[in-house]
Amino acid sequence: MKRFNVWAIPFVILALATMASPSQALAQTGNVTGRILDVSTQAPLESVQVSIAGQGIGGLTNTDGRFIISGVPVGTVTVRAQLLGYVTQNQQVTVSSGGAAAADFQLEVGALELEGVVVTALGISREERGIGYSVQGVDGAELLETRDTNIINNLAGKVAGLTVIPAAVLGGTTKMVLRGVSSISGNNEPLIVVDGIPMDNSRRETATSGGTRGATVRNRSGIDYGNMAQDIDPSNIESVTVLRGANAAALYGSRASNGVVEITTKSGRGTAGTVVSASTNVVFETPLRLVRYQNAFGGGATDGNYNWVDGRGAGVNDGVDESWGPALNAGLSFPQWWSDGISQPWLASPMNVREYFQTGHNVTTNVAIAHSSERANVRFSALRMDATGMPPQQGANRTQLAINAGVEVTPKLTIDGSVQYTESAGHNRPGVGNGSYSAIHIFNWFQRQVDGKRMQSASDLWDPNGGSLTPNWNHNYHDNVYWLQNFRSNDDSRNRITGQVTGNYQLNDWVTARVRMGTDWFEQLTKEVYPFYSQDTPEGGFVESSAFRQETNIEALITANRQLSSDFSLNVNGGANMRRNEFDLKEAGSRKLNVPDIYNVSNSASPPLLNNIVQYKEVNSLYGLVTLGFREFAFLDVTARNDWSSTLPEENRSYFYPSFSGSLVFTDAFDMASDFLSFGKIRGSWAKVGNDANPYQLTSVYSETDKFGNIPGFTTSNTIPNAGLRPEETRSWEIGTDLRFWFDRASLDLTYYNATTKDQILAVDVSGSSGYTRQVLNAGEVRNKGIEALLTLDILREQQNGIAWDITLNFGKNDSEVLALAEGLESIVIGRAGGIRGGVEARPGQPYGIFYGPDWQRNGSGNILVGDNGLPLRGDSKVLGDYQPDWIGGLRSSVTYGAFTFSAQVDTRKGGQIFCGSCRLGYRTGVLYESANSTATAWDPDGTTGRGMTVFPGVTASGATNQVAVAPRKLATRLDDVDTEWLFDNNYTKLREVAIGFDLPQQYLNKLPVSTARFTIVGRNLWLWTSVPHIDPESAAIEGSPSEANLAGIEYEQFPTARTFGFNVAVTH
Amino acid sequence: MSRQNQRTMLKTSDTSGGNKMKTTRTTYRSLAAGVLIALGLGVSACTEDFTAINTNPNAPTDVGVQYLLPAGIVNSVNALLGTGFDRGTASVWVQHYARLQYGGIDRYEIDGSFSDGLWSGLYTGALVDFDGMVVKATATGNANQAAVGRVMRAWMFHNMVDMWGDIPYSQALDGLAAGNITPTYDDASTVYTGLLAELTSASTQIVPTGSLFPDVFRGTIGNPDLIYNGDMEKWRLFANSLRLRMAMRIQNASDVSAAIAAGVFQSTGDEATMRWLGAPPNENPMAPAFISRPGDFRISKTMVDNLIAYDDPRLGIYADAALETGLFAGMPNGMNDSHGIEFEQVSRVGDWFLQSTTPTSIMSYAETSLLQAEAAVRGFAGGDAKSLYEAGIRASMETVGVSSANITAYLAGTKVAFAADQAGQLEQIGMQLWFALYDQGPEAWASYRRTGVPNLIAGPDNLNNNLIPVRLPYPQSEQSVNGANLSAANSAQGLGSDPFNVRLFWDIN
Repeated sequence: MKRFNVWAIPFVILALATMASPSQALAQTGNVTGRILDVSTQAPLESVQVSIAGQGIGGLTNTDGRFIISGVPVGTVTVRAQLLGYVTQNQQVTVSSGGAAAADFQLEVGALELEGVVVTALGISREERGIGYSVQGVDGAELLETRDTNIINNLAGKVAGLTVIPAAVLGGTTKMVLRGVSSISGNNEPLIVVDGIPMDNSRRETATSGGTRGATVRNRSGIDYGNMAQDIDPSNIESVTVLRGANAAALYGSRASNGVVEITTKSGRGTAGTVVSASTNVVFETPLRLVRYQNAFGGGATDGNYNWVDGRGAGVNDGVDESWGPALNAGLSFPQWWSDGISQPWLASPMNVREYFQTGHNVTTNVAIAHSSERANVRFSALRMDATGMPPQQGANRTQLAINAGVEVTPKLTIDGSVQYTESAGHNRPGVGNGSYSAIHIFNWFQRQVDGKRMQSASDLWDPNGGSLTPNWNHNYHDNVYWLQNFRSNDDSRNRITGQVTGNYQLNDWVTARVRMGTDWFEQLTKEVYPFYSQDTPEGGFVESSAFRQETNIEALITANRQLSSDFSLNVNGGANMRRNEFDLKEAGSRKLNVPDIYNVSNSASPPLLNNIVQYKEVNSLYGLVTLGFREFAFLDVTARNDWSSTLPEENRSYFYPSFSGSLVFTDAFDMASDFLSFGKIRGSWAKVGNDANPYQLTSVYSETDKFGNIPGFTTSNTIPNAGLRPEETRSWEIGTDLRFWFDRASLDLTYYNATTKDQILAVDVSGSSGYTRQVLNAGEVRNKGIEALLTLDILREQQNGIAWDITLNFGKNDSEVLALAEGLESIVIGRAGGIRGGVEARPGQPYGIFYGPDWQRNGSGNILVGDNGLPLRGDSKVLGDYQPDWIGGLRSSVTYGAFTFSAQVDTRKGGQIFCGSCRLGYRTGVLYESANSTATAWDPDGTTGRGMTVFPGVTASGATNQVAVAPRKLATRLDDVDTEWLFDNNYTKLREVAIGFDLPQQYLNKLPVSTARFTIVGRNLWLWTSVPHIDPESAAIEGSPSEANLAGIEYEQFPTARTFGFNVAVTH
Repeated sequence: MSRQNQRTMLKTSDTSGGNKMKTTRTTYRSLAAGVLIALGLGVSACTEDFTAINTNPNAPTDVGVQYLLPAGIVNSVNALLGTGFDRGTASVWVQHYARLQYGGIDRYEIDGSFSDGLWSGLYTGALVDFDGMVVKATATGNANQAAVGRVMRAWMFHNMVDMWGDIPYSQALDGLAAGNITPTYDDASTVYTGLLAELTSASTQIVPTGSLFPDVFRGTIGNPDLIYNGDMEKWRLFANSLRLRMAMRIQNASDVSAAIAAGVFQSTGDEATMRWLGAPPNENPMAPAFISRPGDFRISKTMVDNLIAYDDPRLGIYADAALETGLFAGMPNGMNDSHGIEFEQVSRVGDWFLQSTTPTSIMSYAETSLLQAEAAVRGFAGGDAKSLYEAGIRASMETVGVSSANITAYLAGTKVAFAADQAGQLEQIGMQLWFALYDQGPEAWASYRRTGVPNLIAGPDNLNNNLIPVRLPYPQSEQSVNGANLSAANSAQGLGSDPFNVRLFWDIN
């Protein structure tokens, strides 16, 4: 018997005991009785909350719609009848002592149902009024028309406090963070749960050992295979609920400490007969923003001549790949890479980067059939997506089949299930970031006279068997960018099945048992090939991998629901879950091939690359939730969960964490609802969530090195393991309020939260002289606090003048602080990229994710000091900023007039910094607009660069203004060295979505075999306003190594983000 | 969720009679409690195989010495004689090579982060494995295995002292075994003394006729000893040759004579050499580096000019003729990136050194001969200085394929023929060490610092006040992970803000 946390016992006992507590009868003065019917069907309504306003007493109707409330004080009282989905009614009756006053109601279905129901943890549907923490719902319809290939991109700007870092490349990785980064080196993304089943949202695993990066196959990474949540089809989404932070998510356990995005898919339930719906979405995409290049100077480094002979330096400046050469469009002529030794005019090619990008397109078609009968319902949907990206030759497709069915086997037993099968494939995803594989990297060096069209037509002139290179402007450092995209190709495919089956059994009229089993299974295959005569891989190579991942959950939940008395209601949930994760990766490849073009291990001229990794993990859990309600206006929640994780040592394997939350609808409690304040609620909660580790961190192993011929070798692992690892702990509290004004026309939801994660499981750097680079510790503490606000305005409702207009505003502000790291540790480097000299770090006393690096030397008044040679002086490293925003916000509005609907969304980010790696490198290479347009004061006397000499605006040590002019290329080399120069305030506003919809009027529909038809013109990412030069600051998603998963704030040679526009047609029958 | 369904979930009314209801409720309450308890027991009982689940199935928790040695050899040779420190830095600073592009290193524009990877790569890449090898072999009483581990460990440690001066030594490599993650730095000369004793002990520990590994490791998959194929007598000579090198470094006459007396390399056949298989990843690291980035390095003008001045037949092997001119022209060191020299106006490093099968010399017979010649000149040991000097030159030239006739002619040259005076002889020996250690950056740099030969001039755009760096800066990472001990080492050696120019204890010329 393994350790059971004794603290869990009282909660279980409490849970059981409360179920048994008897109903209380109250003092008697008089009764109110009555019957409540549906006004239109005249059917009796059961479970209607009937209460005496201001008295705190009430009851529920029975199946016949009847109720009786006893103990009502004598006199005239207001009787209130409330039922979810119906308009609340009040009636005044006079109660006499010992008498029974009658109050019958006929309730009307509520057209405006503001007191919504939300799906909370474990799929438990609850009235919003009873929830003591912050949740936000997003309607599935909002995600559908302006659909993106990645569902996470669609959430950007819609959820208060949700930061989304979108992928620029078709099918790339989109990251999200709620309430700031809390885990220093672990995962910070919210858990995605679809129909109660956790959904894997990882990125493709890369090899963690085995030495697959060979000497000649460099830079093989840079392919972004995307995050797995892309497999979620927006057209199947009924609703999304975002449970922010630990409080809302405590019941989901460890992985939910960063919040949960809970998705409920559509089912056939509630369908009238058979409904067929179909929609087609066609969008086109073009680059939103490209780096602004100079067009005044062509290739070359140091003198005014150029002569192409072999692109390796045999000519004059032809081995150089910079753009500090002779002036363009100035009447000069030189032999160029395409001109066969003959001098040709030296002209700028201003569009040579722009014309590389094609108009991408994406056609998605979805068909769904839903049917419902008295005892069963079913929904089947099919989806096909075909897309091409902006880079030439890039494509992606997806086929998806989903079925969702429910059946009432007996009146007490229902079974629901859903299965989704997805097959997706990608072809020639472009390399991103710094690497010879990346087109954007090449464009940062692409000389301004290089003619892109000629490059493209030359890209087929390649004969791997004949030993010929593809014609290119430079053979020292680069491949022909079009040839790369054609021949240095990659393919990937993924098959995925997710599914669950749930049985609900009603033990009696207040106890229900639920058993659910679900799995998320996929296998992803990738293949990257490196042809002969590539700059990096003159002898070819390839890497092929197969990654398999599965998570299975088995859950049982018992729910008891009791109205203990007319005042108290009680809801108890007790459950258990078993979870198993499995991961299996196999890789094979070669660093050198015998025969060109055959990408098979049998063709390897060097020992083949072989690697495989398997990982297993299991977590068992027990949990409970007790909700006590008082007169439908005060609620108290207690949750408790105990996990047993296989990844922790036996003595720390079991860990327990509780949460408490409460809410009070004060407008009801004090009977103070008015025309101005129609509803008011305050809420508060406190939660603790434990978290476990990744597998295999408790013991040290030896890892295999590359074999020397046949001779195997093993080396000591670089990590000092921790046999006494403890679970991480997040403690969080929040308070909030939900206010509605003017008959619910305006509503405001405000939350303040404060969350601290400590004892983080970190692999911290240790001195290499210990023999190890890292040590696994429980250390580090990060606090995030902030506010979230959501304001909804129903300015015009449809009943008035046929116009409806609503506005939703959301706002999130988060302050993070690293409170502590491991003892004696000054900082943890989160990552470096983009040529940053310092790095992105976690340092105690600073926000998480600071830029720590060299600044200029400055005098007392902050002016930059310049040396005798006219070059500014590099100073010491210090904190230069941080990557987290001060606040983010979104504004969404829609106007409906007759058959037309117009909706738009703008979102904005203020504060934090971004390191523009493309700016840094582009200036260094001389292609950037500014590199040719700096403040030239005199013609370069040596005539060496063609550009004017420039005087750097700084001061000398004596305080005098610098007068010494330097060659701009020399200055560029110096600017390259100082991080301050490339950090920009990261403020931007984006016109995120626009949709103009038209519903076909009834008179036309009558002539068609459809019951509804809607046509929508849609656009996404249409406009960007920002102070950051050259790039879309939102795209700073660096493809870091697995240990750099939290690296952000650095842009480096990212693909341009897409501006998309198109249309959507949806019909139902 | 439809409203109908919500109502179903909220259903609470009860129409059954009182007594019946009570019974039913009790039954169901017991049932519910029973299910909960059963689940609880089930869940907690299912943790029994958790330890097995969390046992890493991908890698062993322990391996034998026969696996640590080959990995350690490849890793240490790549770290010390690969393209990072050796060819990337030391060979540039000692002006064997020069940077044509990205000349920061050639201008001494490096900071502590340069040493980060090098430092931890050496300690965690191979030293920890050689250390583990010594521990395991000592435990099993295998003297030859222990000695080989100690020789390789000493070779690495002395190279590291030559780079940084004081380094963690006595407390190093104990992160797992003793939990020491902040080792103190030991005084450089104390480390040298310790290493000499260590090598002496290893050399006497060796059973020259004994085997290193049982036959089972040799038959089918090849010998894990990638340097000497298990020849213990050669390991003994290597240990003593290293003693000679270190003793000459600190100019300790008795250690020098003791090392020579114990037996050092007698021919090129005794040399410690890494022989590559010629296919990735087991290839000479220079080959892929030059294939994919041919524009970064050229042979230094200093080297080419000296080879020409000495009329040295190694010129056409050390350098290729510049493609544009067909002439031998070196690249000047320490130029700004705006230097104006085109790629094919200057000579590349000779093809002989860039083949994927070109062996990497860990320590050569040429070096030991020249060191013995110097020892004889200085009176540290006996022997005929002239013949040792000429044997050293001959060995260096034969290794790269110079014909015997050309060697004989070279030896008669005015600059080469052994001088009559001691100062002239030492100058000639220093010069020949500098020529012979081409392609062995770390030792060439150390040898230059000790002898001061040749008289190197820092490049025109250097950022180190026209001084050639005489040590490497400590890693930046040490500041944040071992700060107190680093500070102590800095003050012990008088290192202030100057990371490059404080001489090591043996650098007293």
